[in-house]
Amino acid sequence: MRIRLSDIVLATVAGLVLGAIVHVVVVLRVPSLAQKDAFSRFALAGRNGHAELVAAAVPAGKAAPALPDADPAAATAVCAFDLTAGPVHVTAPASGLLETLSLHARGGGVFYGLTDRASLRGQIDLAIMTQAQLDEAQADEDEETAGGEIRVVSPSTKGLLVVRAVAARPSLLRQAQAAVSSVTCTREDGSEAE
Amino acid sequence: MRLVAMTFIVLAVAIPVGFGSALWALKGEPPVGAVRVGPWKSWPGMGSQPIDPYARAIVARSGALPLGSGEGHVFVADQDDSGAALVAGCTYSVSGDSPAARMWTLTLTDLGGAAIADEQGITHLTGAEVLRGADGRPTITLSRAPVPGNWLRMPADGPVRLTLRLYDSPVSISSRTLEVKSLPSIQKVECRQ
Repeated sequence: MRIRLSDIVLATVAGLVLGAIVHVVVVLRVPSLAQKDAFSRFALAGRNGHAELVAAAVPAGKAAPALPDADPAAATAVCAFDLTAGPVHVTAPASGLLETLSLHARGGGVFYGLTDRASLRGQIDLAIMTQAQLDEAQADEDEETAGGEIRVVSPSTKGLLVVRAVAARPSLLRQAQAAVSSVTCTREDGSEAE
Repeated sequence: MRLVAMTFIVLAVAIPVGFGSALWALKGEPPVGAVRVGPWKSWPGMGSQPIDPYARAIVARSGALPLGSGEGHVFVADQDDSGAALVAGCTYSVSGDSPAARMWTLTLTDLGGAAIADEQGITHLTGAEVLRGADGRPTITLSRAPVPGNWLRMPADGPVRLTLRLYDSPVSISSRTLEVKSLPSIQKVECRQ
């Protein structure tokens, strides 16, 4: 019994189609299977209610920063949030340095980013919540309780808050580290975010 | 027999093609969504939603936390203006404007984006500390040996990458809104023999 050429061609074409499916599946599955992605490594960051310093300007000759391709001129702190037990509140006191905040959904993607221009009365107030929690908050609130906080709806219940402060000169690095470390991330009842 | 042979061919094609192409696509830079301006490249989609699946997988594999588009923009250059790769053995002159931003930082790294840590020299500069010429534009020299003025130290050898980060920038990043002259030029001055 011999295999005909047409069978080989058919099998090769089928193999290419299956290969394309494998390609798509691998690309889509990588984020959830990755071991050293930021979410896995920083899952416990900010447990005590304060953002945790993960990268800063490391002087030449010192160990590499925990965060690949971090700006050596910027101090970076991270806080993991979990919205299953309620919204998470973030406060970032103004430090006089250029500070930026971003929210990263679990599984990838920055869903919100702002700078210290958004601060009001000397600090940035942010509430991270799910759509259901936002609806609830809007139903409950009256005019007196509506504060100046920025409400952000998270597409996932878990994610990371990333705070960066840029040290315009090397001498400002300590101030930048202190600024990002002073950012708090807590639940509504005051308990820890994670 | 015929079915077994055909199944074998299907798998022998599908597995290397599927895994190989996926790993190849995720190995370096995101294969889609790049904005190219002269020698500079940027992936504005990396810092916003929805992020494309390739960029998402690359971010997860590297463990990076990309800059959100509300925070700023990142440009990388692995080449000079003429399209030749940036290498440690040459001296380059980086000069000109950068898009409006409250602060910019310029960092010299290896191709993986990791800081060059074995050197005593300076590997990054910010817009606040840079010295400017009479026209208000800075000129930065990349070289192995120290030079007066704005200087970033080249490593001993290997290809290098320049990363320009613009913090709090109102500029929208697309190939239509950016001109070549809106980003610094990178010119080769000389090369060691």
